Amino acid sequence: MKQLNIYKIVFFLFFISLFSCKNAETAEDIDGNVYHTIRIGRQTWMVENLKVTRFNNGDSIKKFESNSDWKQANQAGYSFYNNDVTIVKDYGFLYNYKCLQDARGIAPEGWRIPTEEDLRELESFVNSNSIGIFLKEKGNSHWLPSNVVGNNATGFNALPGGYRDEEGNFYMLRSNGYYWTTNGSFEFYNWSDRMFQAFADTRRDSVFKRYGFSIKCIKEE
Amino acid sequence: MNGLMSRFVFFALLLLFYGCKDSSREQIVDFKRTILEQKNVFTVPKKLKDNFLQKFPTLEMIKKEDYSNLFWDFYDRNMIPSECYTDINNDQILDYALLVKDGDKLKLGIIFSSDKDYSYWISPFSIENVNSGGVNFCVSVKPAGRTDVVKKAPESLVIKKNGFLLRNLEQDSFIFYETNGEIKTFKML
Repeated sequence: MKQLNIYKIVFFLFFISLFSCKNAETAEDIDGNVYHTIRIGRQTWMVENLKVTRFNNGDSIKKFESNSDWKQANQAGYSFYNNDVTIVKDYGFLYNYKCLQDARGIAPEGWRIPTEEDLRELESFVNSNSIGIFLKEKGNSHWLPSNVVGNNATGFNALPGGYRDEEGNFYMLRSNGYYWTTNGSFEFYNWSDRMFQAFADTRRDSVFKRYGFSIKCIKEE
Repeated sequence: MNGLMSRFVFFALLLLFYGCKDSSREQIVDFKRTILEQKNVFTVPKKLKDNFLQKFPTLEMIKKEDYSNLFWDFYDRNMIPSECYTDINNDQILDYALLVKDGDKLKLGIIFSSDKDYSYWISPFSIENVNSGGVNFCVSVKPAGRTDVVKKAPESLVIKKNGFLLRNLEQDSFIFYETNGEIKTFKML
């Protein structure tokens, strides 16, 4: 009887260790895509860019391939750079702003789109003018060469996924990376050691709501 | 048997604590020290510059010693103010900008890279006359985006690709950008 109880305890502990660790390491979207996560200060960020094709209720997010479809889109939509499916594995999708606003939710359960305050906290934690170096992916496998190559010391893994403009054209893959916040974009450049927040502000110019940027989610805590 | 069970329990506890702790790594990095240790130097390849000068034999590269003392009051002497690089034509390959002297005229040269070859462009106008006081202009990257200036009348430029920015000391003066295969200039003064 005593031996049976010990077996139960062992099994219980093993069960807990397996499942608690799985949840802490990764996030999973409704499509079953699994994302690594990284703790930076008091925040937890997704390491990979988002590549989900459905909202959290299971509804599909519209894919817009042609320039005219993208230009005329009046609903949440995504695309991938140059409509080249091989890009998706590394860079994820480029989403328009309506995806962020949609109540069905694009970020996996327990995750959300970062705010400007989240960026301020990230900057405060790293506390360096050269924050871009610590946030960009290490080396030049995706970034064009530069004298400010990323070292990814934070594990944030920013990538140069480029962007899609309101006309549906794609720009700046490998040199510029654009990520959505709830009010606009934050950016990384191959030649710069900084993180920027200067390209798109949807409050000042609504045209940017028709742009496509990458998404890196932050954990709700 | 009890000893064996105890080891199992211990092992499971180890998994529980260390496995989970490791999975959400707390980054302990001395960021200031790390940046000091980072010594990447990327400049315009010498072979490219040599080919450029062969193509335009009247041109001369601007060197650090050509700059005015006033310029170095504004900028760090470690920088290379006369050259920079980015992709300005959206082909995912680096293009290069070089400040050059054509006699006493300061001009901007751009080297376009493609998969197989290079092509060259020289500004058709003089940016400034280089006199004994030295050069005051530097070149840097102007990222894709909007620029507003107020001259005699407000004027805006939106570039979808990266361009090159020329500064006179710290004053933004010209943006050179590519559109439909041509280089255009936006004067900011």
